[in-house]
Amino acid sequence: MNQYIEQSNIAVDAKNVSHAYNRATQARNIVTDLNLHIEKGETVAVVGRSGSGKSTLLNIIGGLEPLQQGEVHVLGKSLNGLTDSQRTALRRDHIGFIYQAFNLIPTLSVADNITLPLALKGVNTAQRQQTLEPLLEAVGLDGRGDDYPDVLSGGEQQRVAIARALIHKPALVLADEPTGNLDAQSGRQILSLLENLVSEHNSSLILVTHSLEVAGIADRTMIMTNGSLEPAQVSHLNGTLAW
Amino acid sequence: MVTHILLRSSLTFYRQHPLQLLSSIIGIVLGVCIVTAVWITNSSSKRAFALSTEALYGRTTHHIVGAQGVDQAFYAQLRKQYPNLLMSPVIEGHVLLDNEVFSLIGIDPFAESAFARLTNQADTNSINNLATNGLVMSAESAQRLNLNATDTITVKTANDFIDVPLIGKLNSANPAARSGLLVGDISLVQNILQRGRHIDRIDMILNDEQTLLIQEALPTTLKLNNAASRHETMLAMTRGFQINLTAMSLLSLLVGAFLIHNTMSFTVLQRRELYAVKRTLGINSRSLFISILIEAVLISLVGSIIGVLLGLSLSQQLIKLTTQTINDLYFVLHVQQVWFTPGLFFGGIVLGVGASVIAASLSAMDAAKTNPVQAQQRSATEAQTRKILPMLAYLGVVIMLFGLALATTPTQSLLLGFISLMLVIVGYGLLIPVISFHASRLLKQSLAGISPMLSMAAGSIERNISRTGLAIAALTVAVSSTFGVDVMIGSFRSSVDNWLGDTLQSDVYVSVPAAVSTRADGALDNSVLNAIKHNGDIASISTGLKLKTRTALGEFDTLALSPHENKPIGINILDDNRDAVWQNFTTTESVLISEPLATKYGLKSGSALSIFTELKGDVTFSVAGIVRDYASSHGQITMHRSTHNRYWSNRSVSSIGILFKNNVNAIDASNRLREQITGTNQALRIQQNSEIHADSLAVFDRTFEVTRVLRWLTVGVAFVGIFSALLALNLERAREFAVLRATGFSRRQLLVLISSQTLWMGVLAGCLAIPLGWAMSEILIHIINVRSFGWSMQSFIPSGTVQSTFVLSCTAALFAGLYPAWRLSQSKIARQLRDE
Ligand SMILES: Nc1ncnc2c1ncn2[C@@H]1O[C@H](COP(=O)(O)OP(=O)(O)OP(=O)(O)O)[C@@H](O)[C@H]1O
Ligand SMILES: [Mg+2]
Repeated sequence: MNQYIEQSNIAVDAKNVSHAYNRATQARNIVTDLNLHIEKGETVAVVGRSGSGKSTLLNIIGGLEPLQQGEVHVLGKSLNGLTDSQRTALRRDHIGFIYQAFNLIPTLSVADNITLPLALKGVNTAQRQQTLEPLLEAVGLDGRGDDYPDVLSGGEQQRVAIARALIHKPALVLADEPTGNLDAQSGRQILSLLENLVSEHNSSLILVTHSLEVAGIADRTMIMTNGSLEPAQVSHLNGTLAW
Repeated sequence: MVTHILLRSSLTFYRQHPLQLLSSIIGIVLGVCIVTAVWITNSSSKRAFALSTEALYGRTTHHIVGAQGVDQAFYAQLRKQYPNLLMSPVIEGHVLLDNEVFSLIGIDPFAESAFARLTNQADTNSINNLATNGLVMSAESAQRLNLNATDTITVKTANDFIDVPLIGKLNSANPAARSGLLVGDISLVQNILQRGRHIDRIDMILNDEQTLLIQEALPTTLKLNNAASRHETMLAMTRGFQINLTAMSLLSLLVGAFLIHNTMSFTVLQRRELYAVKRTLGINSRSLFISILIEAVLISLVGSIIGVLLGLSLSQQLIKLTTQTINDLYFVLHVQQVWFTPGLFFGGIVLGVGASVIAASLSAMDAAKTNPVQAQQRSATEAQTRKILPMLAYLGVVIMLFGLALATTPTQSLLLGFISLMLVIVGYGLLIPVISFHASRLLKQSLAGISPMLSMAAGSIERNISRTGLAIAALTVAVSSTFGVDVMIGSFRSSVDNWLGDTLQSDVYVSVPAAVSTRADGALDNSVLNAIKHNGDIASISTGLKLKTRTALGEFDTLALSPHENKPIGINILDDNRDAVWQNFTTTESVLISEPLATKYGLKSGSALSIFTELKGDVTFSVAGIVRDYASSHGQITMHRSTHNRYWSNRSVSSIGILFKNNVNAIDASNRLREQITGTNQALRIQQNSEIHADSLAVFDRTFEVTRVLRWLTVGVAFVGIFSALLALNLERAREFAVLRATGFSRRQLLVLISSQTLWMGVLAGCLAIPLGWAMSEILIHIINVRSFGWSMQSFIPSGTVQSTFVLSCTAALFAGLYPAWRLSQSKIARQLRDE
């Protein structure tokens, strides 16, 4: 599988994807007939109203939501054909998640949270420590490795989440509003950090955001409306981003 | 109003966690069920005593008894002398009918009417019309055995099978008289029981003046006793047994209360963050505290009501088991009905609700007083817990030492014994979290290089110690109590086993089969005695006669013994100077008493014991020594046959122990003996010592059947406790596990992670349970048992107990962890990640 993924130049290829949540009696379509194509190394920003289904889309691509309709290829692999444990392995080895709600593990220290993906891969303690040091420095959390998540500020937690998503050098990073909780200054810092780390490994990045400035770092920007994605027009991007 | 909102919030919490609610309730149900079942059982058998006393004694105030019954001629003379006094002669015995024990009562219908026994006013007829040619049977028994009022029945007595016609049925308002009873005219019953011209007692209804009069008129060989004293004697006999039963139920309650406490703390702990949010929203700590208490009351009320009702049905089983034991060991008792009073009902409920409220109030206090900002931070809770762990441990050590000190104070108080047992358990329980914490940390570090996942499993126990510590403590206490009880029963059994080996020194025992296992009072025929005396295989014989004696301390089984070659063979003297004791016993006016008798009444070698004898009335004997005897917890007296013969006229023998010569094969010799004496016209019981040994152990095992049942129920309580703890613990971390899944943990890995975590908790609890269980067994054996039965014994850990305790702990943990593990591995990751 690894080889196959190395060879593929397409990071994400989603065709005619639809997704509905069952609400009491009737199903509610959140995603309808969505198409998305992302090349290797490309950064795509996804914008859209709150509740429009952006997080749902990331979850589908990451294999966290079952695929209901359509076809999704991630790093050259069709999600339809993967078993649960194959999807799990794909995430473990090649995908980094940055969640909207940071989803740090409250009972693991900052260091343990960040190195979790390495631990899952079976990397030993010494090597984990080695990889951790520069990354901690990069996200500006030098010396905070032994703290627990709930004493960190929102921005600090977000930085831990980013470090965790990137520590295993994933080919695809799915970031759900990584700067949502930060002041402009810190947001910019985090963003350039993310940008650098991604380009360093030639990773692809899907970046869900409400901010024009954030979307600015992307190669292109897509807007989520009525359950599907279309390229954002200049008119959308002008003004207040009032979606 | 605020409370109202808080309670609604609690309700939602439990609606979202139905299994947790269920297990909290089940924990309380089981705890309450066990205790009330034992209460009901004990009160039912006490009630049965009371009813049967009432049935057999009616309005009797006093009775005249002799050391060997009362001569009928004396009754006739007394009657003539005091024609105006109310008196009535009685014989009581037991017979078997269809292998069922019946009490057979002989009365004089003409003397009866004033006594109003056996019947209520309405049908004194059946008693008044008693003819001398037949028996009246209690109506319910007759119906059950499908007998008509005119059938002939065959009853089995100590010596014979006898056919007697039925001439009527006995209806009575008193349930004790409705079953298990045969009544006949005194002369007929004298014939059936072969009592010659003796009656058991003369019942009387006397006022104070008449009492004095009769006391004056009695010869020294007869006594005028208060009717109540006999009832007390019977109660005293089973006291040890009932106390032990209560003890076992209290142990279950203790474990139950501990688990209830854990469950309650858990549900509170789990909502610490939630409570903190509420506190920041302006809800004061008082309303929070009250709402938690109300919640505890509601939950435990439901649990307790169900528990009491289940206890009622469990008690029916326990009554069967305990009645069997009482009949095996003490006397014949028919428990006709379950005695269930409002007092018992409310007692059970108060107990369950009380334990829960006390448990909940501790954690409610904690939840209400913690700083809301801190409580919102999970790591702060854990850090706080870690900080107080050593303090808890020191406190635990102090409590434990205090408990041990209390255990060793010289007192006979059972209550203090229990308090010390409880202190040891609680103290040890406080040590468990700190030990678990360090053990898990150690394991985490040592596994880090080998398997990161297993290391993670151990690490999460360490990091969640506020929760995992509680769960491990609960499991430890529960498992250790089964270990403690196992070791106690095992020690008891091995002591009895050794004692039987020491005591049963004869090769073969010959006796008259007793109608009822508690009595072996039939006399052996002279022809049998002669046959045995002339048998060439026999080296020596010992003979025994069982009788009941009244002493200043109560009524006791007494053995008049003529030992093998007049040596202490098969007699287990506990005193150091055994030769001197034996010397005294064989040559002076002295007796040997059993250990329970000595312990209970503080008798030592050299103490005086006044015994009411047949020929010389009250005589003071000295205690020659104390012997080990596990046959009766009430106490037993052994008297040399020559001593007996100076004070009693009976020269018969009820059992013979035979030692064969060294050069003959014991099996062959006993077969020859069997052939030789079965020719005589008496039904005999000829038993190898190994048979008696096995039979006695079977009785022992039956006695502890109840304890075993209670023990398994305790395991049930424990399982529910650990299940709910693990369920809560794991579901609380659902989101954490979802993150793991999203980051690349497969379902199987998650299953393995959670299972190895719970297994490790089981392993820890198993290891920790063994020292605690051992301490509990030591207290049970050397303090509780001695104080309730008066028996001393050697501790003995039955082989496999340690292993099975360990396996039990691991299995319980694993099973309890299985469901939450499975559920979590199946749950939707995306959904869990959204949960805030
Ligand atoms: N498990 C679920 N069951 C039912 N409805 C759901 C579930 N998960 C999400 N939804 C609904 O689906 C819609 C899309 O949710 P999603 O989280 O994808 O939106 P979003 O675009 O990420 O919004 P935001 O910008 O606020 O994060 C929302 O209306 C949400 O309520
Ligand atoms: Mg979202």
